[in-house]
Amino acid sequence: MARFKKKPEAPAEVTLERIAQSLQSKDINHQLFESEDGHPATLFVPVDDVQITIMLDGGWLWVSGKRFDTPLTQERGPEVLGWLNSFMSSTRFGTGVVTLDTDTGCYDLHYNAYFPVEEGLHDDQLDEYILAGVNCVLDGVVSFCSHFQIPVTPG
Amino acid sequence: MPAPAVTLDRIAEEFDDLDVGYELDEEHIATILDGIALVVMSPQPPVLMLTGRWLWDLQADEDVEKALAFAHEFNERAYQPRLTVEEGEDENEGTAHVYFSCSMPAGAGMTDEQLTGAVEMGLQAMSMAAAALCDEFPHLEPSDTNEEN
Repeated sequence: MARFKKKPEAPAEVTLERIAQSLQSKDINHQLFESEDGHPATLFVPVDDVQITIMLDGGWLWVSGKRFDTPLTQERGPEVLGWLNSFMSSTRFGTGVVTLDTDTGCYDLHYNAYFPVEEGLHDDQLDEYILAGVNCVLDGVVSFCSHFQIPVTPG
Repeated sequence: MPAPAVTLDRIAEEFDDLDVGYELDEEHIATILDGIALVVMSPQPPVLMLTGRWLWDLQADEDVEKALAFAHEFNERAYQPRLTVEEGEDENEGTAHVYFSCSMPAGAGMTDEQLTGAVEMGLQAMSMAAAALCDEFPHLEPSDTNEEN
């Protein structure tokens, strides 16, 4: 009797529910936030005092860590951009950018990891993407704060 | 593991499908594409990482500062590639280049569809970034045009 090779199972669509299950399986604390103003739902994942968010945006898994209200003013822009550039050059994942808060005149840090998930992911792939995203974002925020000698949470 | 491992041979097949010429050895794939010197290292540790260097030399301080600001602004609005500016070493000291990178975990393997999507999207995003850089630095000329395929 002829034997037929089993067709590989297609990766499943990535959803916030699957991401939450992955976090749950690793005992990583998380909370779902469903926006009422049309913004996509977000998972909040506090790790080591860093507020990390995970969301899905147009076929991308987006992991982000933020440090608002830094004491770093626009005058330190070249130093801040230079450090971010140098730090990113030494890492595989993650993109750090700063935005200027027009009220305080100080920089906010956004450290992001983006991975394409439009083709779906198997469970083990999803686990790997989430861990890579969370770890690189955590490393980016903590390293930034350490270099500029500021606490990871605003005082 | 339900998805096959990501290997240089599989990535090279994607380049074949896209009609992109390249050099392949045991450690990497290298090519020149749209003004970018592109390298894909063997995915070990298991990360699929496409790295490109924009072929234009940045030598004047004001160009390096402008490139840093451009890279930051680009990184703020684009998901990929990630742009960085790196100073040359040894004989390239005094010259900086813009680098592009598109990377994703690959330890759990990738299906053909995932790999095709990642490679196509990465190359397309790098080409767009290179075109944007050409618009930003119209006074510069590519340094290594003799390497073009």
